[in-house]
Amino acid sequence: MELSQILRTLSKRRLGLAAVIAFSFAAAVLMAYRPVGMPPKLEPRTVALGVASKQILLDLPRPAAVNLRAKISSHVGRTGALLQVLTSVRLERAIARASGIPARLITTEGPHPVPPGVQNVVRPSEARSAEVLDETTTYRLRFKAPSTLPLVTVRAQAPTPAEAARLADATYVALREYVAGLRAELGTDPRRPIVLRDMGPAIAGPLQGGMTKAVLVLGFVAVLILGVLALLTIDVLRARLNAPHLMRPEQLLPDGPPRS
Amino acid sequence: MSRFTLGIPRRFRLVAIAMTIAAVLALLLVYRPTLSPPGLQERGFEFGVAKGQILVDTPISALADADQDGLGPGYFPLTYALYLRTDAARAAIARKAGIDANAVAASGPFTELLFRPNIVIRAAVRPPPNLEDHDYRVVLDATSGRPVLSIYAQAPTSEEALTLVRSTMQVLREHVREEEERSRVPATERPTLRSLGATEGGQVNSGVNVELAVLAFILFSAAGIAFVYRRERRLRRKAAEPPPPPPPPAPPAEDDWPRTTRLLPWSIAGFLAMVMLLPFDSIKLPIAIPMDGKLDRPVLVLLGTLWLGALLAVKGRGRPRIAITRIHVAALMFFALACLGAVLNAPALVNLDEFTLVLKKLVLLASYIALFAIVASVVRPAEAPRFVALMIGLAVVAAFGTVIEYRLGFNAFYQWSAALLPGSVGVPETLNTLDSIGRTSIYGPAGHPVELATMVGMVVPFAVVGLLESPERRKRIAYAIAIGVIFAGALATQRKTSVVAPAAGLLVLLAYRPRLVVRRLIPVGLVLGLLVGLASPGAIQSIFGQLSPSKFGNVRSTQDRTADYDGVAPDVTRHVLLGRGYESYDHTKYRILDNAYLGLLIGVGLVGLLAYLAILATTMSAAHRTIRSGDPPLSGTALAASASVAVVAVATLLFDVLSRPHVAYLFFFIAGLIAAMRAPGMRAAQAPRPEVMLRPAEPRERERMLPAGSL
Repeated sequence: MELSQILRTLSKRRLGLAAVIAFSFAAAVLMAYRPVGMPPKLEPRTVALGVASKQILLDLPRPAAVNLRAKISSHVGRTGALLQVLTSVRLERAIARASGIPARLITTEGPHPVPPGVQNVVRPSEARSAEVLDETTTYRLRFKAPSTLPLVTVRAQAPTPAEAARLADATYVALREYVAGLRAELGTDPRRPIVLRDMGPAIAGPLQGGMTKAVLVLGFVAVLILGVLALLTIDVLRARLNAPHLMRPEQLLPDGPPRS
Repeated sequence: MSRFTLGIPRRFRLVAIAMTIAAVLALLLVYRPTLSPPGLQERGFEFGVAKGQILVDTPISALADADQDGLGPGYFPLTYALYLRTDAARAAIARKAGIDANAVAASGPFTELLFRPNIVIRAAVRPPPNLEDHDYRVVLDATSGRPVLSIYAQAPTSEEALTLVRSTMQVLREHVREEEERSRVPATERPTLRSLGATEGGQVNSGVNVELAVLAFILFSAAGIAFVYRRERRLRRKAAEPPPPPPPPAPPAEDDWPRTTRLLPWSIAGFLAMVMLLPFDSIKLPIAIPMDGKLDRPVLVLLGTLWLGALLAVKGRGRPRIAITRIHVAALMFFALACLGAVLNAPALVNLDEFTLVLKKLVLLASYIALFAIVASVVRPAEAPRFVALMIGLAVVAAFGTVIEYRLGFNAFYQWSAALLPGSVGVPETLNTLDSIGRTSIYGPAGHPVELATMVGMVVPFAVVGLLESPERRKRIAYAIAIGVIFAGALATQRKTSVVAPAAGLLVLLAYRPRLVVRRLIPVGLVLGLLVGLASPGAIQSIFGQLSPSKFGNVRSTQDRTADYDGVAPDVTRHVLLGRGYESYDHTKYRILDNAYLGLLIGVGLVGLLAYLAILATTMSAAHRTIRSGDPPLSGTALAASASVAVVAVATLLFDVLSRPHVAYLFFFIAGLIAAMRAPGMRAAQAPRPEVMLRPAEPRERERMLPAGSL
């Protein structure tokens, strides 16, 4: 089908084309925004992202930074264990309580055996399923620690930088409460506590825009292409079915002079 | 009779029957009929998952007691994981969960303790049923030296998965208690299993049954309607006049490329040279290009600008003629579906910071389709064989450079690009190094050895057809030498793809020209095999060693491909129709798939995958018509192009073709040539106008008179 024929068909099906354009626009708007409330307002479906990070040091009552006799090497193994505990449901709920964010909106991941971004663990279907369930969760926490230092790095992601910072800071509170709870439950020696030192408030910043415009444009283009192709295909199929050489003799028009 | 048909036309009745059959088939796809009791049982497409964790600690928790130097033996979780895998534990778990023991499978750990050799020796005894054949699955995971045991379960429903995890935990606790009591270990030396919160889970792909049923209904209905449509056309054709004769073949034009001053064909030739000789996707230009653009993007923009300018300003024969073929429709549909899948899953993609990646990949896909559209509208049918000659020449240069690299360790493409072009060239870190099974990584101008093997392999059918169909001996010798050099280059990559992919192309040639292939190709093949062995010594043995039956299924790269099928089930079934986002399944983040069909299934879903297959099918179908047209230079070119598409279809099984721009651009260029040879406008433009109209028609009807095969 040549360009001229396409344009002619589309001009012939002006109403259909207008409907396709209107439908594409409406579909794109609904794909990019969610109508909420009454009267309905449009709320973007994709959220902007804020990120924050903070560190927590496993330390001794007398800080290792100022105490020449301090040995914090035994804390290194403990840090790895705490990283795993941080990803548990129990800590997730504690973080939710401390931050005021509903627990169902929070997910945690890590610790990764290698830096994130380097794929080396082929996860089986069962483990991947658990990750897939959390893909749309908007408050995300990731934990990591160097192999030689008792330092936990918390990375938080949330719809705004402020919320991300709140989430990261809440991690420290939740972890401290967990360890304090264990100590109280087991009656450990109060003179030799494990000190979780907050290395300062979380540093936050924006990650990227909500991508709403990109979603709007892509959605419009996609539906428009499909709609126009459908219009043209239907027209071509009808034309081919009714092509003159396929018509019965009685359907053909009487002979006349050829048109230029 | 009319009493039963209610006066409804036969074609509508047939459509109704087709749709009824489609509905039944769609139901049977997702439900299994049972006889006792009679009814429908859901097939196991939906599944739920649950996860629980146990902290293996000391009686006075080391997490709270600074006096303890360590956390107890770090291998305890591993020991427990291995215990829970045993048949006895599996049976106990099944009993507690109220499930048949044979329906439960247990495996793990997977994080870092599983031994992953490159060559796997197959056991002589019959292996147990595959893990993925069980409806109820438990996976145990533990990291070396870490005190947490993670338990994952998969079952038809999330409730059953939760029960399975709880049962597993219970079995473990009972086992530990029994062992402690039996061996009388002092209380202070016993490990303590601490709960880390409630077990959580959910349904991974709820609604997948309905989605599959709807898709199946639409597809089966479409097939039925297509059948009724073709039947109706056949009936009308029987009762009608013979169709008008096709336009006569195009007479040779004076300004066909290369004897032309038209800029566009020359620009296309330049683009092709860039694709086949430059590592363009490794060249970082000194100017910032949005969407991770590399050298191909500005060159394509320039080409597009020229094309648009010609479309607007040039009149007559020099003007690009846009004719929409089935290939255009399939490509545009694929692009639209890729966009749609990304948009529908945008909230998750943005959340995972993957939406930008998808946008970049969509821009790249648009670039491929733009090249295809330009080639299809600019290249004239008579020019197609000349572009093929250029392609063979470029492939020979690329292959020769590859052989040099294989023999001397010198990659001229990267080295000279870095010296001659502006910007910086990112030389791959693994260039000329050995991979895990001892193969040297030969890159040539491409971004990966497999990409190089496929790129030159795609040109092999063109050279073979040249050899088969050239009447002149001199030309046949030249083509034979070209085949030898190209094969030597492909084999120098030492990848199985260099043999497997071109073999698919040769099979297509064999199907169309069996006698010629047997008579001319086999003797030449024997001679060339010897020469190729001399040019790339050791390469043939290396590849055939990998392809030998004892190793083919056991090499890690082959095993990983088959291991992918179960591992990607959650991603596939979660977004079964339109996927999670085109090319969003990042291999550095999730898993190396080694199979682009799987990647497409995840990225664009079943519908998108069908659209991709439609691109391949329409391309081959369009080529088929030209092959059968009997137009000597064009039918041969179309045959080779069709074989080349078969190479891509097979290569798609072996790696991610669409993320490798050398192969993808070349494929869309070849598809463009096929469309150029088929597009009715292109041929009509060059053919003399028919003297006599077959029949007069009213203006409205004249508009409907479209050439057969135009869509």
